[in-house]
Amino acid sequence: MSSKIIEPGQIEASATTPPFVLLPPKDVFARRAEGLASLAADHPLAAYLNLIARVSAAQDELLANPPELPDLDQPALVTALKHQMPPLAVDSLLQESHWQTVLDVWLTRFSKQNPDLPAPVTQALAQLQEASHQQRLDWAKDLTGGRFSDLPGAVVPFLGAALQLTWTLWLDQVPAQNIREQEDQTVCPCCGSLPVAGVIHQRQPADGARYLLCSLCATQWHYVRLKCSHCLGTRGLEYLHFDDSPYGIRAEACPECHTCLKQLYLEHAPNADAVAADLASLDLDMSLAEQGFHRRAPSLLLAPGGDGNHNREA
Amino acid sequence: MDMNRREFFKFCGVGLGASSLAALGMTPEPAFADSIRHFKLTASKETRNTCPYCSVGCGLIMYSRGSGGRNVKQDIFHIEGDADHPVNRGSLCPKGAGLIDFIHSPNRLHYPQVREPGSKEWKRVSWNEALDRIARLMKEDRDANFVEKNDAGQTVNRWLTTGFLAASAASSEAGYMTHKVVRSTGILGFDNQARV
Repeated sequence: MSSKIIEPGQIEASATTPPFVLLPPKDVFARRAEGLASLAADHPLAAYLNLIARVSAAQDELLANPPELPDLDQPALVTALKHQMPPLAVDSLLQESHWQTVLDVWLTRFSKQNPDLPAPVTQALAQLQEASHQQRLDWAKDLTGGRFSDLPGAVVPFLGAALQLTWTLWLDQVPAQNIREQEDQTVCPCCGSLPVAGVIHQRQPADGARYLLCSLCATQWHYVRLKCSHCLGTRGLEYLHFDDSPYGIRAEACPECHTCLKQLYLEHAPNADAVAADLASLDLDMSLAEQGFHRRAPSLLLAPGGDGNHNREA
Repeated sequence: MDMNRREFFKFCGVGLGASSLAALGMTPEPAFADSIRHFKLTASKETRNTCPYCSVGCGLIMYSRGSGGRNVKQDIFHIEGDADHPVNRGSLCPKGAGLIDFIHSPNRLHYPQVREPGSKEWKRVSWNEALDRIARLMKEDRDANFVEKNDAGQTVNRWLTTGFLAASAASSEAGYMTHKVVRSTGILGFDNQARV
């Protein structure tokens, strides 16, 4: 591998500390949709990747033209930030009904944009549309709480998409510059959710730094490299991938706690989206599970359908 | 939130039966799960280190293949600046950026050699021979030139005819040890290899 040549301005950028928090760009869902559509070509999971590409496209449209949402309680946000707590804490904000409004609007738009969906998908959409507020709240709690076997797998990607969209919309109201850097931040500093994957950046001011990508609100926050994001161990970490791995993905596997986290190396896949690459590399998860490495990082767009009670964390 | 009930995000190998894939009628062909067993998993390691060149002490990440087991060839295939390191924040100078070639250089020194006074040839010697020779020459020189007292009769214990050049990537602790060992022989002229 050859070394890169430094461009004007890069030396100054190198001398600054990389930002702690990177908020998602406005086209986060559009890029994800593009990524999924291109990964779907000749892929064994093509049907699913194409479906999620459409889901992301609908998220993108609603992010640009969001439904009217009431403002969040600003004093509560400020207090949370002051005490280094996530201002958009998922467990408390789920109780508000705003996300259900977003879900309803999203479901309508998605169904309108995609009249040609297969029957199981329309059934899942109808199930979500007809469910009571309480039922949806219970499902949302199960999904964000990682109890995947307690809700129907069919509604997961659509419920997850609406939750992601709501929290990403709410990021506008968070004064992100007030989020103070903390060492060993293993959950999202904005909403308290687990990361879906890590991203190793290749552009200044974050060149070579690892950020964890929130599974819910798409915020990225800096987390030191070569360190397990679960047990904070630094010994014996291995970086596993398939030969000729096409998505720039390697799994950071910790021999101490036997968990793994997939990481996207943007140097190898500059235009890739971590959520898309994660879904497209399901085979790596299955192979790692056989090696005894468990995955703690959830994806809100795919229920794993594991064997329920038998693989609960202790 | 009841965190203890969080499940691992685990896919069932066979058929992905209860996942969203199956629930939405998009299960991959059964051959998918089988085919995964035939893919070869490659493991690499990423290790932090310090650039050996100068006293700035830039942080590095070295990428290597091969496990630590015996008879397994280990191979460093990439080196980059460590973005988390406070000294260089991921950047490297041209020398540091070329470290991978330094490691794989065919001209690298692999064993001790000596070119004796008057000789034109480099001669390969064993580590024992090399260390014995260095110790003997140092002792001879120190015995011959050690200054115990100055002209005023004060004890100074100086050894001015030999100098010492130590490593550049040394930590503060290694620097302290260097100082203690070298100074205790009376050597005053010593430095760390910082400006080469």
